[in-house]
Amino acid sequence: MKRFAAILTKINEKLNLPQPLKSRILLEMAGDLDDLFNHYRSQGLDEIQAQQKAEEMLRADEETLSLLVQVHDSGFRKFLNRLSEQAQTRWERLCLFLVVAVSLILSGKEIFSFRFFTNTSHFIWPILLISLLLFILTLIKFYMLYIKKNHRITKLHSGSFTFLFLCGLCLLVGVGGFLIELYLAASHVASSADSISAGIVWGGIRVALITTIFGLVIFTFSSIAWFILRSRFKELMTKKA
Amino acid sequence: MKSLNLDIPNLTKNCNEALILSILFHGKKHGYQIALEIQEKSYGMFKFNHGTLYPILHKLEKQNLIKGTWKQEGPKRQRKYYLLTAKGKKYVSNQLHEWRNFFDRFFNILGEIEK
Repeated sequence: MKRFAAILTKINEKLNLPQPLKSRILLEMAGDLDDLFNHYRSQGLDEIQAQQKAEEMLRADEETLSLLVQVHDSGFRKFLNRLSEQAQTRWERLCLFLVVAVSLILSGKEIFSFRFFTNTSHFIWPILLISLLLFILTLIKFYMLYIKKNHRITKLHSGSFTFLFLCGLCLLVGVGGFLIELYLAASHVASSADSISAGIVWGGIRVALITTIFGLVIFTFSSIAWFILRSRFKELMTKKA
Repeated sequence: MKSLNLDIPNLTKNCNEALILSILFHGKKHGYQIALEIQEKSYGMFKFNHGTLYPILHKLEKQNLIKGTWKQEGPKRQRKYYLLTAKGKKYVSNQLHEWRNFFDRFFNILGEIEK
């Protein structure tokens, strides 16, 4: 087995799989290399030729190793892989997952209560409308990319710019709404003859901030949906090619 | 005429899987034995790079078409061998039927040149 230590070390470095799975695969490869070596030796080749031929037969290149990784990817890893092509390291994926999870936990109870919608600014309604449009668009794209069998490439990409535009618009309305509400509140406070308590002022700011938070939450979820749908689109394009 | 279940765009992948499952039909084998036997029985036409073999074997194992088992061979040597499961036997029998249909239809067209 020491004979093939160099090639196995290279494979070990490139094979991005968790232990003990990685060790098992390397052990399997090592055993096959040894048996191949013995097979070629029994055919009359000398040690160096047999070793070279065995290594040539194994030839685990980048594409093969990535296929091997794909076979063993867990459902969770596959989901994280779809989120971003750039977030490939374990730490980046973990950070992305933690940010989304913490945002959900901290804001979920507040956002999904009816009180959130009754005690908010008028700008929440355009954001709700945009979220509804995004939700419908996500469902349509999901159906086109995952459920429909016959994919027409020209139609697959349709709606993606609209999707991006709506994501950005959601965030802009959230931020813009906050600034306008803050400006109106500030104007009201400045023009008011009576002194206004800090509680009322901060209450007004809180109401304005709800719009921004909601816009940001919708933007985050839409972005994740965008990454997932985009990676599926690329997968289909690669298959068609 | 009954439609084929073969995945035509991924014909090479289907072909590789069918070859591997067929070799395992009559007994358990190690990975390197599968590749060598395919090469030998096809007179060199189907040459398997072992590196390509592992993703296919592991995928078939995940699909429960084959089963990988480790065996201790000597004090410091563990070897993995594969054998066909009942589901795999049924699958490869269906594949034989599908491939026969595929080549019948293929030669229906190609055979036109001899007419």
